Amino acid sequence: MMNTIRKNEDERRHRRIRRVAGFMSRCCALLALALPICMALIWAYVEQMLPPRLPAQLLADLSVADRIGGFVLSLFVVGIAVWGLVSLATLFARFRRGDIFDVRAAILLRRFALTVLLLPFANLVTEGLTTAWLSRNAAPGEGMIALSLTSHDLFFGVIGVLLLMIAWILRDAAAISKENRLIV
Amino acid sequence: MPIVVTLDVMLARRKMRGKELATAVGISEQNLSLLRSGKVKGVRFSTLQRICAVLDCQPGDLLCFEADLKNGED
Repeated sequence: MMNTIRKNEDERRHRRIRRVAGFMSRCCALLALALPICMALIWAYVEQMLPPRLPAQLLADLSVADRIGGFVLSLFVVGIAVWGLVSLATLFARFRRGDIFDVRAAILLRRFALTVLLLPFANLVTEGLTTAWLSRNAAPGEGMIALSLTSHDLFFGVIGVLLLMIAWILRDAAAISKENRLIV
Repeated sequence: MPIVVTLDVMLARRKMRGKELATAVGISEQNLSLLRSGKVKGVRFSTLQRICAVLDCQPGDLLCFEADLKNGED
């Protein structure tokens, strides 16, 4: 009787995990697909969008080459974010299949943590390169390379380090759990 | 691993099937299969005690040490 109740409860929990993980996996995959498209749209209408990291004076009268160059440079950040989202989508897909507490899941979480940690640096590099690109035709002495570090970057960095540590602990815990499963 | 599980020999001597032993001992057939094939990392004393009780044997009848087998060889 107790076993049946426990089995039903377990089954309900697994169903819930499968449902939520499936939804999250699809959301992450969609977001990974949407990011490059959004970035292309931002560069197409950059004067209206005014990305916060780029000086407004550089965004006036942009040529097609400026926009394409800006878009290509921003793909560095987008690529890292897409890599993180794909890792997260794969992680949730594993949860949906029932592989919840294993080494591979911890590795995927670590990959996502690394992307969170890398994003502020990628933003910094991209910002510098983009401003250099957009001001390449400016008069001598008026070219610029803008670099900025905001509180958001610090926040991302802290969250990245925390996630990295959690992933590291989970990985070791999963390895211990795997070994324990081989003790009968 | 130099520790070899000789449970199969004891099962044959007692003319008992693995499924019967698994049920009597209270472990899954999958775990018993892992134990029989020597793919486990360890055996709990409680499991060993129950197997010995069911098969009426000593722990030494179920395990033996073969020094020729290198560590890490599963």
